[in-house]
Amino acid sequence: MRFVMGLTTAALCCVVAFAADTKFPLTGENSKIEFTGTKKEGKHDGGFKKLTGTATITGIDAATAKLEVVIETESLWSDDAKLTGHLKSPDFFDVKTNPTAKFVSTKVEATKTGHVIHGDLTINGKTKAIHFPAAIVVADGKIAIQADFTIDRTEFGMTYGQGKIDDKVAIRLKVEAKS
Amino acid sequence: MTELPPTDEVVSALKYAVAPCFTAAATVYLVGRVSLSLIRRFSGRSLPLSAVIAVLAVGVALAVGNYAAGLDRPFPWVPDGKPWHFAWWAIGAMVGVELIARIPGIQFGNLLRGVTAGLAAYFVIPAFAQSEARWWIPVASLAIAIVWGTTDFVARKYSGGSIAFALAINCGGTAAICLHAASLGFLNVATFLAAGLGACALCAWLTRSDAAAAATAATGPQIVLLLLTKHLSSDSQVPLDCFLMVGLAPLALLLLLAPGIRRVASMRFGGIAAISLVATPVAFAVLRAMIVAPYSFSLAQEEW
Repeated sequence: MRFVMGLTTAALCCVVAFAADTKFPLTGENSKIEFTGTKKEGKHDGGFKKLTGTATITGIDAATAKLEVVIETESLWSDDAKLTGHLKSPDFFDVKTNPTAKFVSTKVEATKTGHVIHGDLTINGKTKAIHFPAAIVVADGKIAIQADFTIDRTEFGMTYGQGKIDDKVAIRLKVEAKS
Repeated sequence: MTELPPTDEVVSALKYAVAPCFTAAATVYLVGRVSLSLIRRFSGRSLPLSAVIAVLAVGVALAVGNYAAGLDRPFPWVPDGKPWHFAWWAIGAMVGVELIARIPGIQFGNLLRGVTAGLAAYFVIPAFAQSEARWWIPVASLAIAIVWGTTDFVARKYSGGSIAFALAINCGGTAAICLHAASLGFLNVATFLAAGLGACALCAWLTRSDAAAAATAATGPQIVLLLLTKHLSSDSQVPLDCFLMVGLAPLALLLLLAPGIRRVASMRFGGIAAISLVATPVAFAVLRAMIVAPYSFSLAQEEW
């Protein structure tokens, strides 16, 4: 009887241990957030160098992932110094007024081809619910997330150049973090 | 050193910013003048509303410029999330107050201007700047009030189009500083002001009337634009002295009242003296910004 109880306790402990949350710290080094703005005659690439946050997974099920990322908007870069200055100005990210942008996931859905991440994106003090397809792999104490999607910049108060610069901005997300 | 902008950018600015504002201001000014003439002819009464018409022309130029920019407008009509959106209302309030202050018989014009200067500074200077330095609001309020009051004081003594033209150059300088600080939205608003004032000055010269009040209406708004650009441009290399020289340039008009200059200026050279006095510090500031914080228009570094 004692043996059975001991075995049961050990098994429960194992289950609890397996189901425990694993936190993956996210930084500008292990996480890349880049964007591409386009217009008729061309495009420009950019991104953010500094961010902090965590990805939390329960067990090894990617669908349990919870993401929270705070981006330092002052760390914005682009392929043109003049453009970088303008993107930081009140016409776009208004980095002096809004020094951070934020993404907090609300749900991760498993699909046939990967996952869909739902969450609230806050830029320029405006919060919008967004969702995008992503590939999430959790293995060997590491998490890898890759996603390509678009957002509408005008929904976040960035209306400068409407009609000349496309409203849709392509976003590329790549995370490779260790717990 | 900044090179000159390419022709297509100049044509685009003339077409979408300068032309609508210039036309709107000129239309309001000329229609107002004709209306006053008709009233005088048919009723025999001479209404002292020239100043009100000039201020109205500047206000309409600003509104038309913001409207003509369509979806690309620098300021939303109703503030939409960003604290600096309220600056548009502050600018509107300043023009509105100047309109009231210019109504004949109004005795509390300077009191209104002073209160509006304080409120504008409070709404325009961002919270982070207010917490970094408590003196920003009183200093900015005082600067706006003094420049506004000085322009009004001189404008009442020098009628015609020269003071308005001098302030048009001043607003052109504000536009150039905004450009070098990569604040293109505020550059557009400064261009609206410059175009409106230019139209008022030209109409005043053509009709031999007085548009000096238009200059008074533009002084507060242009300092607001400089304050916004100074505080909100993150990567700006434009030195503080450039902002100060352009913002405080109208104070040079006080020299027109100095005894020696006053005698010369009261002859035929008053207009040229007023324009030169304002244009000199503005030109110096713009040249300095072009050297210290060059802006490139070249296709190799085309922004978008």
